[in-house]
Amino acid sequence: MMSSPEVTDSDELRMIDPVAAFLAYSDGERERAAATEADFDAAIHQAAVELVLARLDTGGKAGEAS
Amino acid sequence: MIIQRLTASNLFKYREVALSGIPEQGLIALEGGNESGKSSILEMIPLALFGRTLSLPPEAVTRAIRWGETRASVSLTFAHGDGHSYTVVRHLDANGAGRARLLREGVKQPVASGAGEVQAALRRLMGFDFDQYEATLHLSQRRGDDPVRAETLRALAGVSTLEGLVGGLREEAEAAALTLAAEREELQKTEESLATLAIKEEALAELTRKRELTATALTANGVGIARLREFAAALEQQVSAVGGEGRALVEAGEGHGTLAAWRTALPRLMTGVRRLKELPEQHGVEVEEVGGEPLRLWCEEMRETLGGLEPVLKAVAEEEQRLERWLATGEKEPETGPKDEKDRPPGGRSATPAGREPAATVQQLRAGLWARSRRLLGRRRRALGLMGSLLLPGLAGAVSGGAALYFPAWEAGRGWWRTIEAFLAAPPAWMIGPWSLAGHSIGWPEGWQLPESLAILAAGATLLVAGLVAALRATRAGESLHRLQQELELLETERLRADKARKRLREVRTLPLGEMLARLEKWEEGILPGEAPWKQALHAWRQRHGDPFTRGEEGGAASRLLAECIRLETEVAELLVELRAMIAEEEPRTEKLREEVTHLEDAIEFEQERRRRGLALGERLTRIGEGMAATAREIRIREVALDLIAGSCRELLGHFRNRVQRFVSQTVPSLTGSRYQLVKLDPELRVEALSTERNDFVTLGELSSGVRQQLLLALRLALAQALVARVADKGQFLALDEPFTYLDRERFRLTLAAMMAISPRLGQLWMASPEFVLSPEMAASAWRIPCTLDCDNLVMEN
Repeated sequence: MMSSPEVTDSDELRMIDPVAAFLAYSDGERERAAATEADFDAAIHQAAVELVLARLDTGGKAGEAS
Repeated sequence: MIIQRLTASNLFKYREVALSGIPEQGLIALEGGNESGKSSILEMIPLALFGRTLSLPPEAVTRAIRWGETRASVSLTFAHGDGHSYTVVRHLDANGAGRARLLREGVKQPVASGAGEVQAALRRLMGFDFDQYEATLHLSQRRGDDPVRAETLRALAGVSTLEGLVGGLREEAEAAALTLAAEREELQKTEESLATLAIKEEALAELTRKRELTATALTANGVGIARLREFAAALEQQVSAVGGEGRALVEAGEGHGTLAAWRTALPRLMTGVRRLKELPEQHGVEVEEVGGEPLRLWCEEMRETLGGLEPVLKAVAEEEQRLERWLATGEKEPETGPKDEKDRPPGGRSATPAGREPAATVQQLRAGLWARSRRLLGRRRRALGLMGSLLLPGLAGAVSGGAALYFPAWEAGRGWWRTIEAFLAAPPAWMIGPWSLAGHSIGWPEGWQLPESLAILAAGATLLVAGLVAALRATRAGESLHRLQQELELLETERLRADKARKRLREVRTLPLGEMLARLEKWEEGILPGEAPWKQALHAWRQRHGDPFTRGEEGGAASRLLAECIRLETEVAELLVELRAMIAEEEPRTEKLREEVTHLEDAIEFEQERRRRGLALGERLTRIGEGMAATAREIRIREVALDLIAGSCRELLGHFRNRVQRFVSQTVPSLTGSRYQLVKLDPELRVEALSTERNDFVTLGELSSGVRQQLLLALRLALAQALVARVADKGQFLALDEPFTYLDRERFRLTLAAMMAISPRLGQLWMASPEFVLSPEMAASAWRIPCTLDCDNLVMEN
């Protein structure tokens, strides 16, 4: 017998905000790289983040990123 | 978005389609056999929304126009999550032209017109494009097994937002890399140019030092030449002045200058010679000897010679002054003479002997003589007057007294008074007349008696004596006056002689020196009393110095002066020749130094230009280096950004895949009757299901068509859910074209029921199927649209 259908939570499939995902990833990368890589250039990293945010036209989130 | 109304004309097989009152929830069941046109109804939805169908390529969309017709249209009205209803209308033309409009309910003005504008407006409204629609909301029987397109997955996962930046960033990085390469090439060229210049830091300093040294030498050379020229000119001028002075002295007075001329010229000559000797030091010129030393010695000798004349000249001057003082030239003549008798000139002569200071001036002597003369004249006059006044009465008294002696009264001794009385009383006859008259006139007392005749005689005699004394004094005064007159005449004579002597002395001083000395030596006796006071001094001078100032004397002062002047001029002329030779020798060196300075300045300018070029190249290198650093930094930034984007996208895709996998895993048991419990998706969302029979994951190809269809449906539902969740619309239609082809009737029913319950947001389900196996509840809510093969006009209202 087939089981009765269940209502799934479609909100779980709600798309993750790419900007937030990017910022979270870049923060994680920075923390990881800063902890492990001796030649990690935080300024370059920050500039790259700001460049991407600027391109995404989400300058308001640049502050949050930093 | 929920479809509310669908109309079409001349599309596919239909002449006209009009579906209105479409339920917002539940199943819209397009039911019919093959070629009945049910899929065409579903194809009208994307044709209205996107201008294309799933079955036709975009360039062949005109083939959707009904056979034999040239125009078609489709209109779709849908409810949007913003609360408004929108109607999109598209017109197709067989030749490819098309029109489109998007209208909002209640607004006449179209929201958008034209295919492009309508497409963009709908993209904004719906939040998805054709590809995403095809991948999620429309399951076509023809493409059911097709894998989901990667870009659609990425869009659903939100990766495309980030990946949209990748191309630009990569292009920028590549362009920056090209720029960096170009900058590196330019850097290399610039470095080569700089190396070619081979600039040495000390070169300019060395050239500058050389130029300064040469310029200093040039200046010193010029100064030296100028000094030589100035020295030569000054020397020439000074020699001319000295020679002129000497010649002027020689030529004056036919070769004999006056004392004043000698006195004036000699210091000048000495000063000129001294200046001549000082000229080399003044002009900083080193010469052995300028000349003029003999002239200087001669001048010294002459100064001593002239100095030896000083006692002579002093005596002459003193004598002249003495005469002037005696003559008192210009002085007012005093009214009185010398107060003392000793001031008078001795020996009856008024003038003083030569060399002796006079006791009084000639004026004073003259005044004294005049005063004495006046006194003597007065005394003589008074004596004469007294003499006159005494002699007559005395004579009368004497006569009368003598006469009275002959009178008796006198004899009787009555005394003189009686005698006088008697006389008066009885004067002789020659006297009666005058006496009577006098006595009468003066009131002579009557009876008055005269003295005796003797007394009268005595009185007369006394008077007579007194008169004689007065006469004597008058005579002596006259004699004194005569002597004074003689003295005045002598004084005048001596004054004239003194004045003449003074003038001659003055004249002598203006004579040429030799003549002056000769005059003084032969000074005439008699002009001055006694010997001239300078005689001895002049004699002594002659004994020592001889006669250097005599006219025409061989070896005399003038000849020696002229000879010394000529010698000096000759020596200086020789020196000038030497100086001009030195100047002529230095001038080519000046030109050579000037050329050298010019050459060095050119070299400095060239070196400075090279340094400027070097500096410019250095600055250019710096700029290029900075530019390269900036470019490298930009490249690095973009590389990091790309890495971050790639990492973010991987994580996003991973998250999305996990969520879809979880959703599918939750859905699959419902759709497959729990035959398959676990499903996994690879990065491309290819489905693998855990087979309980095999106890392993199997791919779709290894499964039956029905199971494969169910798994893909589950995946499609998951993607549709994701799409709906992303666009955050309240409800969404889902179009399924014969999705359960390989399901039996029971599994059809269960699967459909499970699918309807999976998400309330996918409430409006458009499904085409040959037949529907529905539960009674679903059958009650479903809107069945029958499609038949020969039906070309489908008009229905729910």
